[in-house]
Amino acid sequence: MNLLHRLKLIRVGQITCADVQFGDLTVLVGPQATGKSIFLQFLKLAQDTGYVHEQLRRHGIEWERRVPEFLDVYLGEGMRGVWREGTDGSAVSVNGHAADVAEWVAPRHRFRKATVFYIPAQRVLSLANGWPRPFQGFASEDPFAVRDFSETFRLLMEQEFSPTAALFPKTNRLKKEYRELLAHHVFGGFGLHVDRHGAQKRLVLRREKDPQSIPFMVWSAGQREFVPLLMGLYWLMPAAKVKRRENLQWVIIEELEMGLHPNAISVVLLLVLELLWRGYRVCLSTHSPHVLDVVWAIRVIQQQRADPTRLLDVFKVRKTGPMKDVAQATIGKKVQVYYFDRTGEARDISNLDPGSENHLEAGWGGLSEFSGRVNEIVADIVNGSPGLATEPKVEPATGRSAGQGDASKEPELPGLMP
Amino acid sequence: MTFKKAVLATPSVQQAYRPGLQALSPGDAKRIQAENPRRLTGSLNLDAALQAAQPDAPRWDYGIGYRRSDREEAFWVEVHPASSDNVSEVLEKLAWLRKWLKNEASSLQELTRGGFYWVATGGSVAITRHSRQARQLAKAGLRGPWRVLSLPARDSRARARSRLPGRA
Repeated sequence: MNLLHRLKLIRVGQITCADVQFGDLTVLVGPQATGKSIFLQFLKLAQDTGYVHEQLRRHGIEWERRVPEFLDVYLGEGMRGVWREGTDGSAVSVNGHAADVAEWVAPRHRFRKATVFYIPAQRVLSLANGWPRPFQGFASEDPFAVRDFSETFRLLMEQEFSPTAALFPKTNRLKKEYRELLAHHVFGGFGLHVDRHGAQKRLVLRREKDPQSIPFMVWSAGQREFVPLLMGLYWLMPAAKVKRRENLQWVIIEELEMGLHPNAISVVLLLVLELLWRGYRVCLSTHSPHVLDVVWAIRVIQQQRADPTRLLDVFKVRKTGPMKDVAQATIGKKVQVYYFDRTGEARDISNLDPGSENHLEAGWGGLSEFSGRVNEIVADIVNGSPGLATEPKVEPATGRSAGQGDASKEPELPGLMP
Repeated sequence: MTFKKAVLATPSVQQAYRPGLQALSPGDAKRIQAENPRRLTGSLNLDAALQAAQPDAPRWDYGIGYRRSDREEAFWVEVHPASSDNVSEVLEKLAWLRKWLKNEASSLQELTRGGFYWVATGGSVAITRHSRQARQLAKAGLRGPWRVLSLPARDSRARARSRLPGRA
């Protein structure tokens, strides 16, 4: 299979035109309902057509051989409308070549292993009563990505983990540095265990030497969001001394920040760097400026040819040998950032220059725009000039330069710049 | 009171008034844009003017006169490298400027409705808008750092917003 490096969606759902060239790390930002999730699910479909078919068949799901009907199954019931047919209809191109999406829908003999591991935004739905739901435990309106993630989570629990050992902390999956940070910022001293409640297995939190178990429904919102993500990361980091799992090449994580305090988000971002070090290509969608903070730091270190381990300072993590390797590998990676806007376009804002004349880039696709406005208004208030916030406007630098005025209207003042 | 008269009324800098943006170095002047350049009423290189009198003071760079609506205003601009490391240095300069305006330049103080701005040397900005440092600057009444300072015309807000893509 050729490596997918570019995916373009035209007139698909809210998307008018999203032409994304992937880096090793690709980050999608933008307001709600601008097509980021649809785009990522098409990436999964483009890469894993055979796997998707195989899983649907295995779980007794059939579909009509038309794209809208297939998307009703794949994206979830009611989503057929994202695909428009006709001359001005929806289109997809892969690596610059038009893709025949109708052919994706047809059963064919294809590669049936997953190459993309998708951790969806709705990952918390995978845990019902503290145990992962099987694929068929979901309704038809649930997207394939959610059902498949949950099924993988279930397989991991039932096939790879001992029912008696702690799931966190767990020595053979995550590096010690990550375990320490997660213990501090996410689990707050609790361990994650499998417990039996009657005949029913369930995940619980428990302190060491304390028999009292904390069931799923009374975990903090952040813990409920994080545990499925952690299990996804365990899946991607096999216990054996191999960096990647089987055929997996890509990891998609939607809204990794969900429910998490900024300190915990930082740890998850560090784990994203671990995925990069392991050779995965990672796609993130996010509403968190923290994610772009890290991307910005990576780009500046790259541009300045600075010591890669400065990246570890961002996370306040010890500069051990393994962590230095992770930082070194990350700085060698290509990072791309796209902004999905309300008009349906995806714009490349990878430079993330806070001083950019492109307000989308300077405002990081809206993630820091609000803070910028607050800063300006606060500055005006401090100066006792309540009206000023409405007056001077900086950037975009499209105004005429000094000395470039229209001489026909007013006499030229002496001393203006030529 | 015009900017020129206010400078001339300030003994320590009265020789330093220049028309337009002539007080600025050519490189720094490129970082100042005016939607209507005819509204630029003069400039003052405060740093150079007070170098002899206050050699060790954290002197501010420039004052710029700009006529907006029917009145002139003084905009105070510091052109300085823009990274988090420079924040305290620039805040020190701002504190010095405020003190100088209050104690030695009351005429210019009266015109100081345009505010205080940090423009990035070389145009490279390395402070994010949501950072603690950006909030420190805001709290001190300093706007920026920006790559370019664009001095607006009368109804600048509406015109500036209409330029932003993706907005009605």
